[in-house]
Amino acid sequence: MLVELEAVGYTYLPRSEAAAQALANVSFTVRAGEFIALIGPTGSGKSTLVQIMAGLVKPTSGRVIFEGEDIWLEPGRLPVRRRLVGLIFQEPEKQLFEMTVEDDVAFWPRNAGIGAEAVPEMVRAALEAVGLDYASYKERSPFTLSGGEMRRAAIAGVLVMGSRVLILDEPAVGLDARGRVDLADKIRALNQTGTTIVMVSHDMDEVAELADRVIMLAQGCVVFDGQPREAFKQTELLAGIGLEAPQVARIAARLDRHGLLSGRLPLTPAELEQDILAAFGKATA
Amino acid sequence: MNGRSLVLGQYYPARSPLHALDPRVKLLLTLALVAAIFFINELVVMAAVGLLVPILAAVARVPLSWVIRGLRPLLFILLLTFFIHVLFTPGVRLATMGPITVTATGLRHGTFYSLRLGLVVLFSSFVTLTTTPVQLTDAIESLFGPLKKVRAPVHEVALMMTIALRFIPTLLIEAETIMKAQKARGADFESGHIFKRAKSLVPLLIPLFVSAFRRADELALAMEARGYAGGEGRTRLHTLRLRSVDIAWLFGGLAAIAFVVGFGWAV
Repeated sequence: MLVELEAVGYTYLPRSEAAAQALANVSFTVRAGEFIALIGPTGSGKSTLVQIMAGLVKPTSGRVIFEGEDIWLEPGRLPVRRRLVGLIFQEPEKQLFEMTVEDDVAFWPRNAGIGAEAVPEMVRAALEAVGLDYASYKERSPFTLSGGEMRRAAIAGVLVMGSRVLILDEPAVGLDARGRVDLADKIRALNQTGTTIVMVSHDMDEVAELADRVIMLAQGCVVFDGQPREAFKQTELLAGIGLEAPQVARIAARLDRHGLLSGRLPLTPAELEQDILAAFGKATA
Repeated sequence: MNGRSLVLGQYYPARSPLHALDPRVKLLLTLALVAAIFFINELVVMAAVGLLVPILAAVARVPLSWVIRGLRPLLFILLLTFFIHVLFTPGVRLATMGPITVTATGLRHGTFYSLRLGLVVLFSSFVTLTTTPVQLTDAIESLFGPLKKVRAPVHEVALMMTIALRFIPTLLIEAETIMKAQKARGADFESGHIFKRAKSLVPLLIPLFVSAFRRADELALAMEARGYAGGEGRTRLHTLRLRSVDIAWLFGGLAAIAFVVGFGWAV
């Protein structure tokens, strides 16, 4: 049990006329090694939820538990506890501020009091995890990088913490097609080497490719929590909150109407290929 | 936007004759009233003018407590004014406590000067309570309009004020997000001595400036793309137009103020 949420609720400006409930009674557990996709329409409370999960915002009700410890019982320990969960905000390149990429990525290690001799190695590892060559980027100013490079440098600034849980709030927004694929590969690689991932996304194709668990949020409540294949079968639930199943699943659903496909709902192009070939009695090579 | 509404300044939204009044009239009347307050020399007259505060609050449909709250930042100065006068004015002795002597004149002066200061602030606050910042800049542009004849950049200054006001909430929200993002990677904005704290603001201020410059750049580009060409010959969505009610308020108000000042002199 890495992170547990127990009946978490959040209300903006409580006790005032403008009070607005952003989250109500949200409970779930993040287990080690999972890849969770958090989906839901704009305004469903996703961004507030991830900030609560990272221990940055205190819920107005309920408990947030990191490895068995209620983190808001002892706020003094929060800065240390926060290391467990790294949060990458939307458009993280906005948080860059140092003169060089190396200094910016080294922000956390230096704040955390890590010995100066260990820092360059940590920075190198973090930069290489996002595909930026340490030697050629470390001296550059983050403000001279391209948009995609800035995004990666900023992500490295969070990765350097070595958090066991990594939350990404729409990491691919504003990237070109190649940047998206590239970033998705990097995130998958992180998950495969043991980092638990929680990713907020509007791109259902991406969710279908990557996630092994989907949590659906609507109007501040969890309306679905389960496997992606189950999630994308909930066509009415999805339509009700303005989301669509991945394109592959929609194609499969149409083919199914002609009795062509049946059985599992394919989520990725590769799965659809298998199912179509199977329908024609051919095995995949 | 995080669903959060930011209250800017102290504008109190309501529908009232005072809210509907032309902002230029409000500015001029306030100016006259504040000037008049400095001409009043009698405590009784000053106290009578003070009665206007609850009356105006009722007309403006703003809770009186809300109006009085505007004095809070000045509380210290008001008390200081009061006590300095009470304690250091010579005159007929009222009471003595050790080295401290309170005189009747001192009490009168203390009350008078703190009342004067308080009333100036309260009356001016009615302008900001009942006028949106944008209306206010419009009024300022209009009142200073004649200066355009001597090539003073009145329109540009007013536009800058409007834009600055417009972006305060945006930048506040952005500052909050950046602060959280830096906290997430170990920044500490709350503890340490003053130099450490000032230094800890760097990770907040640099991204904030970068984004403010980028926003300014984009805004300038967007304005040019839509053909914005400055003050000359530009029409407005909301034109300030003096209605007969506004003129009645202006002259009625001026007459009342002149009467009170004249009355004060006569007493």
